[in-house]
Amino acid sequence: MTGATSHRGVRDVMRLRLLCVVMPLVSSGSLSAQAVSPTKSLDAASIRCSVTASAPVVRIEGTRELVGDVLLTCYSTRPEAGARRSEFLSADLTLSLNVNIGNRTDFGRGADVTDAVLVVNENNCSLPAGEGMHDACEPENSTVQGPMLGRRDESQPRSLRWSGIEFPVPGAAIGNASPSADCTGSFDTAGGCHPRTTTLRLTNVRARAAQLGASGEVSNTAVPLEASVTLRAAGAIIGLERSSLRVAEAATGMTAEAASLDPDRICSHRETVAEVTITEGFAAAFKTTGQPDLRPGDPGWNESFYPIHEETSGQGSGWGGTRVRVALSGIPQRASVRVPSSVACASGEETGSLELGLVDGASSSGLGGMVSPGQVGDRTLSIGSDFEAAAVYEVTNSNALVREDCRIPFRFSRTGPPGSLFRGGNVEVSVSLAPFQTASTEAGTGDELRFVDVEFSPRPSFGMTGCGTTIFFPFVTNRSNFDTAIVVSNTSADPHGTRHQSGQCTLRYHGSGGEGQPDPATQRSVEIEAGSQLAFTLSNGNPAKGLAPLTDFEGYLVVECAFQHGHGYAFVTEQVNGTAVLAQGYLAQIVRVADDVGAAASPP
Amino acid sequence: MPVWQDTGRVVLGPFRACAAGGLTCGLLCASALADAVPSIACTAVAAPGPVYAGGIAEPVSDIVLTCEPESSVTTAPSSGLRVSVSVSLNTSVTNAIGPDSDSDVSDAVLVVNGNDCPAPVRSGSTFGSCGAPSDSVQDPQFGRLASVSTLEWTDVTIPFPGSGLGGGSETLSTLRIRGIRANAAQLGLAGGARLGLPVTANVRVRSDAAIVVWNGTLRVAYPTPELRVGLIGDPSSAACSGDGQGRVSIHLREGFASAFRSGSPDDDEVQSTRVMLEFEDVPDGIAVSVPAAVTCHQPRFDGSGSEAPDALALGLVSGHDPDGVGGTASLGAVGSEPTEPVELLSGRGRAVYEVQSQDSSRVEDCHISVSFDAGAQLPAQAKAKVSASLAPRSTVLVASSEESGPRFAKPPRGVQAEVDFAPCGTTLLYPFVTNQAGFTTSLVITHGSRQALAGRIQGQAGSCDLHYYGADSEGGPILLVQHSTVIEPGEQLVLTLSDGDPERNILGIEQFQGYLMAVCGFPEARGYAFITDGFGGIADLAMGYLAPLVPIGPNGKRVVLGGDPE
Repeated sequence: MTGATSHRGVRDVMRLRLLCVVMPLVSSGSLSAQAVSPTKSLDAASIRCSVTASAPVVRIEGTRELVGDVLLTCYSTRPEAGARRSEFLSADLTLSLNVNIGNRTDFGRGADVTDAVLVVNENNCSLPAGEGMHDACEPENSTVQGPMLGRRDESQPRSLRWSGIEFPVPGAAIGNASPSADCTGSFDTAGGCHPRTTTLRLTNVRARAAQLGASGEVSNTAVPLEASVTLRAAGAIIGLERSSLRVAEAATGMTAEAASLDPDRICSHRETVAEVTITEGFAAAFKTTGQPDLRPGDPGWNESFYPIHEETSGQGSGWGGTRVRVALSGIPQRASVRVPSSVACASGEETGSLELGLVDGASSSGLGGMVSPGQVGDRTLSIGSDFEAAAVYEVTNSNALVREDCRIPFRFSRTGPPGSLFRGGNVEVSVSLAPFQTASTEAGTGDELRFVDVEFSPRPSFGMTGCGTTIFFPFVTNRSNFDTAIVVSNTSADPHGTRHQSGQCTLRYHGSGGEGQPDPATQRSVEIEAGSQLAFTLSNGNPAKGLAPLTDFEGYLVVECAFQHGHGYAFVTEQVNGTAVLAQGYLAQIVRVADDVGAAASPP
Repeated sequence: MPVWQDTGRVVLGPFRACAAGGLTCGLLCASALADAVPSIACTAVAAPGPVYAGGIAEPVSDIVLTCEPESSVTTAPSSGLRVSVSVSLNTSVTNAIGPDSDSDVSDAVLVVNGNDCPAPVRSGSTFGSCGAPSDSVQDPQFGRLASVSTLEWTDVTIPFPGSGLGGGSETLSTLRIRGIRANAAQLGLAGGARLGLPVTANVRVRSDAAIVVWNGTLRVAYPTPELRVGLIGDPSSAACSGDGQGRVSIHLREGFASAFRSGSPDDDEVQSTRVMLEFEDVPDGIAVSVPAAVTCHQPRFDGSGSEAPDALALGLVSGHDPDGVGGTASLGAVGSEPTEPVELLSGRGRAVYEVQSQDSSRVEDCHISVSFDAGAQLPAQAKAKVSASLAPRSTVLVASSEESGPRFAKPPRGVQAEVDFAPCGTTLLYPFVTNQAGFTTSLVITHGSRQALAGRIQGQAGSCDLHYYGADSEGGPILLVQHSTVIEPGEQLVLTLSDGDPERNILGIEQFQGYLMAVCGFPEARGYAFITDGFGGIADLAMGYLAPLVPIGPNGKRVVLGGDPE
């Protein structure tokens, strides 16, 4: 209690002393059965408190998760005991969690002052003070202090403390050394009595829930977030119903999956869609933009915060909705990626109202930027030199009563020239609640970073189909009276509804030419349509298809065609005087091109 | 204890009389409650039981507050305590509320000292208006919805414990809160299993008197998976066997012993449990049938291998809406044969069963036989999904005046079983065939089912469609399909491009070069090609190859060979 405030409170009380005599009579018209006399003075107050807390589900990935309010309801166990010197006790309260405190401290009240708030007898308002003050709220309350900010010691990162709480002795007369015999109708007013129960509410307490074991392993259980409370006051014996209690259940906040919807479409239509599906771990995991609230977290549908943040600009502004950063790695070359500016997630019979908006200008940790209201259409993501791209979405609407999911479409397009080969690959997806801390984020910094970056195991991924076929002919020759006929069939025309594809074939000869002949170079055919064939002999080539003849070649041949479902056939003959006398044929091997380990043969 | 009759039906107890008595009485009351009045401690207890994890309006345990003075009452107060009681859940309260004129009044009830009646009142401190046993204890009182997750009873009068007033014991007064319903589905977590957090309640009593609640945070229900579903059987093996019909058995098991409930003609409050089976991605051309009634059987565990009739019986509901609401259930043991068609739209359909009888003392199982009928069409490779959940389904997730009974949320994705339809056919690729430039090609397709799959698939015959892709000698494109006669297991289709096989309904084709795909209506077909330059005459050259199989993926599409990794 500050001196100035204390004196002011006393003056107010003295001014009202006269009323103390009158009020019981005046107010008797509203007498209730709870009409009680003031608590007699106490030499040593004996007080007992029940301790309760709500335990909301919080995100185990979170570092600023709002836990449930802790409520202490206290009463005097010996109201009839002897004389008392003051109607207030100076009390110290400590709250300790089983994880570090996640409250912010950088809003201009001192390095150790947090935005966790203690409220006495529900005398609550915005702009709480670092110390108990009677004039913190409007209108000023002379009988009970205003809300009070908690402090944090660097040496005790898991604890919050409130020191010098002006704790009203339950039922004690207010400002009256010799209380009148009757407080009837005069509770919590100057000249009357303090309520027969004193409540202390701890609100806006935030926890680094991630310390409970955030990992990419999706769990269907919750980890309890426990708190212990101590309350001490000089000249009083205070007993708590319990010293530890559960203030939150930490559970997986989000799961993610990825799938390619129609992978072959990239080959036939030069574009395809992959979906990244994000699912809430529990019903209220995705929250909308924060709102100032004297009971933040009640009911926990948005990123609410105690309104102390309103007094500071910038850093103290309210939080936006929950963000989700989706990063893709291993994007194939010659591909672009577009994402929608906004996503309405519910569809069909599904319940829910989840909506996401693309954040423009977010950092790599998902911080900053903003959702442009009313934006429509797709945005093209910037693909880095490491073939990675990321999009950050913010929850703009959600239903906190049901677990929702959202399918975010990523539209891939081929950017190479028509007929050119498109190599696919496995695109890995990293999905994180954002903004998140990274390994390089120093502890205690970055109050806006609300989550840790969790890598799912297994990491979601989807395949980007390669639009080519690599066909291996192990032996071809047109030396020593032999010749080889080669056939490459584009079988993407079939009875199974496969989409037709066309593309060029690149023929790479490996071997030796005849004496004095240069090694055969690479040849490229014209486009081969679906259902047609590229047929030629080594000796004659096929000029109509863009293939020149070879002379005296022997070796092997690799054909890379820019369409799927290519197949090869070779027919080797010996001709004597223009007449074939020997023949043998084989089906060429289809080569599986691994993403990073080269080529491996697979049976046709 | 004097009791005054109000002009209305409400009978005022002593407290109201005191308050209405004005100044003099007020002083008397105050005097009567002088400083000897002790603090009151109320201990909250509940007996949580299992509730449906997918339930939106699940009844939770009663909450009982037993209140007693912290010290002996030396001067018995002459009147009761006036308190407000609130119960906040960690999920939404989903009681019925309304009607419109009183839209926040719920059907959750607070009962003081066991003074209950069938028609509780809306206002606290009302005495003797509903036929409750005691006129000196307030009537049972409906709670009001204070927020989406909080119920509140205001203006409650409690006989001062220990005063001997109001029908309480010598030292205790009790508050029983009954009939709270909670949205258990809201407490579901990630991870696939439909297991949620316990439903917890925070109980608070506010008063000008010194009342505290011990154990004010307590569990009132345990959401438990209500159903487990599995599949027994492979529809493909039967579907490919010739009659085109395959069956699976959907295995349902209640999540806890009392999960399945059957309604009682004597109690309108008890609804019979409904189970909704949902089918998704059923391939085109396949019909689904379910039984009209199911008498469930449990295996005997006496080694006899026989089955014991179970108490559990289900009846198919007809006439229900998409949420499983309404309609009537088939009664009686019609039989468990799947004879009732399920209406399918875009591969989706649902069947709703209602529990006719059950034994709530044990966890029961039921097997529902489901028929997948492909008719004359051969099913392609596909995966259909079957899920089971309780009904009726609802999207009303909070207290409502429109929906009051049990209702259920749509189950999360992933709680389902898959029905695999393996292909009954084979596709062979002949990458190169020709009968140009003096060449011709002989093709052979062998029906190898009998050898390869002896004992598994019997007697599946089928024809082959030959799809030609290529060009004539002038380069003109040729697209042709020919349909063979039925090929029995162990038989072969043998033809040349030039001559065909008229007995098998395959005609010869002139001057063709390209590739050929043969789609055969039986599994395990094998192919061979033989290319010569003089078939039927003097052949100088010849070679042959085995035709590769064309793999078809689970989505019914052709698998890409080679290329890039998937």
